[in-house]
Amino acid sequence: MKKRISDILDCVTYNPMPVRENREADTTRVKVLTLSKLQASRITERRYVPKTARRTRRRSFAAALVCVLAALSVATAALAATGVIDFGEVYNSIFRNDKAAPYVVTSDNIEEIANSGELDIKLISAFTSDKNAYVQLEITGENIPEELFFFVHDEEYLAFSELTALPLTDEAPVITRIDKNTVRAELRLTQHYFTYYAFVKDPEKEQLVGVVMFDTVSSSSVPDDANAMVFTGQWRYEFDVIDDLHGEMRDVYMTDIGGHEGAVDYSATEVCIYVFDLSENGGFDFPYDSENAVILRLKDGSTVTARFASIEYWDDPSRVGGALTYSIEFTNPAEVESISFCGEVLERVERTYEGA
Amino acid sequence: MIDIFALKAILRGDEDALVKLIDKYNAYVCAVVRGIIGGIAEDVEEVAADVFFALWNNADKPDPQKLKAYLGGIARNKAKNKLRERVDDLPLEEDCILIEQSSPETNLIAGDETAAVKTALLAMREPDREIFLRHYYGLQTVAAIAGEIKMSEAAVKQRLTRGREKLKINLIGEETDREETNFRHFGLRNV
Repeated sequence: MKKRISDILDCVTYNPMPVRENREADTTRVKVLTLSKLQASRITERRYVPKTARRTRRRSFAAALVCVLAALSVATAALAATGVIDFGEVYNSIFRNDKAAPYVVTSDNIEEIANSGELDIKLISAFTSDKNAYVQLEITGENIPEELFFFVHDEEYLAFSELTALPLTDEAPVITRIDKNTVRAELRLTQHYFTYYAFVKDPEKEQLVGVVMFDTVSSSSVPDDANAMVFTGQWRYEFDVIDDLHGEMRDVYMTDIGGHEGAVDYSATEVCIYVFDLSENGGFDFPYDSENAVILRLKDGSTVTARFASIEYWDDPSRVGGALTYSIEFTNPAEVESISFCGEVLERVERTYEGA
Repeated sequence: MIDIFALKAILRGDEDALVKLIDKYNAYVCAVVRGIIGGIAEDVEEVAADVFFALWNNADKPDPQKLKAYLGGIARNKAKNKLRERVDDLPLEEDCILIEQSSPETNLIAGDETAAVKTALLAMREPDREIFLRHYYGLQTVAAIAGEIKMSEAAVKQRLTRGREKLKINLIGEETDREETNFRHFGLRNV
């Protein structure tokens, strides 16, 4: 009988194994993977939810989120432009102390802070498990501080309570250290939010240097929803659209709404393409029949066809239009070079950014 | 957190305790895995996660005083399995040994084999034992071992040969003893 010595030695405990410990091991990723396995092992015992239903829910959520944020920004801009609200006066009346000013976050300056260019803060992964959310961020840029303070808020708080002026002076921050070698930092958040906004403060400069938004769907009381949906990394890609190409169409977005879910099996990235219409005259017909499929042309020359998913019309005083959503299983949206729609080729604009 | 408290907390379902143990032992586990399957970070992290997941499911098994050794053992076995997914044969010197098999019953007594292996290892002198374990347990290559303990590859191979002989003698001796035991058990005599 043949036996492998390496198998025979399975019964041996060798203490300690003579190895050089790897100080650069990515502990956060191991945590994420391990906790994913824990949750997957639990989820297998739960009621089965068809994947298509989960995707539909994610798509609906993503579309709703984008619409809400777009509506908020448009409404805010409109109010400011028409002089109905003078944000400057509002801020001054609330924050008399000048030193507090850098800590004020408004619906206007969220994007400004996010794109300030001081630090590029990229969401690498996020995962909810039981009571906590685990988040890994990559921080690049010049003069990266030793540590960052994160003031974490949920979307509801921002949207309905203090959206126009959010002071961060009295908040208890989540403090995280940045690993200089990997330029990564990890957060463990104990709050249960649906959508997190993390406002990042550089404690050395005493000012906000970034905004990170990510979404989780987590509830220990509703097992089916015990998963995390994350907008990963630089997740929005903009494509150049000529205004007069289609009377109604202004923007095309590819949005990665995939990421980590409680179940390990959801690892592929799902890409949705939103075709927004922000025109003022309305009365349009979206060309969403099968002849007008959206075709992605990849950098390697191959093509992928996206499926029509849904259509949505908006009708409110400040905005008339709608959105077409196409969806596709695709792993790397960065590889998309152009999008063909209605026979026209839309080249990708060479910039990516986070935000909605 | 002291390991014994962490293990008890894991048995209560406390994920924070597991996270703390990952913080404490991940570098070691990853080093063991990396030494066996190589340097692809994703694979190393995947196997390391398997190790800690196994700890979660078997938190009552390890001796808290020897948790590092326990994790090292799991990491070694899981990394070995991962390596087998990639290659048919592990990169080891004469990994297979031939042991005479006279009856199916001999396969059933695994405890005796464990004892024989341990006896064989105890019979080896240092550094032969360390070299043997580094190669067949830690799955380190001959070249790597030679480099780390400052010895020529030929000398390492010679010591591995001696170790294989000792293991074979102990296993065959154990098989022979077992044969006699089985014969006695069934009222027969070995002729």
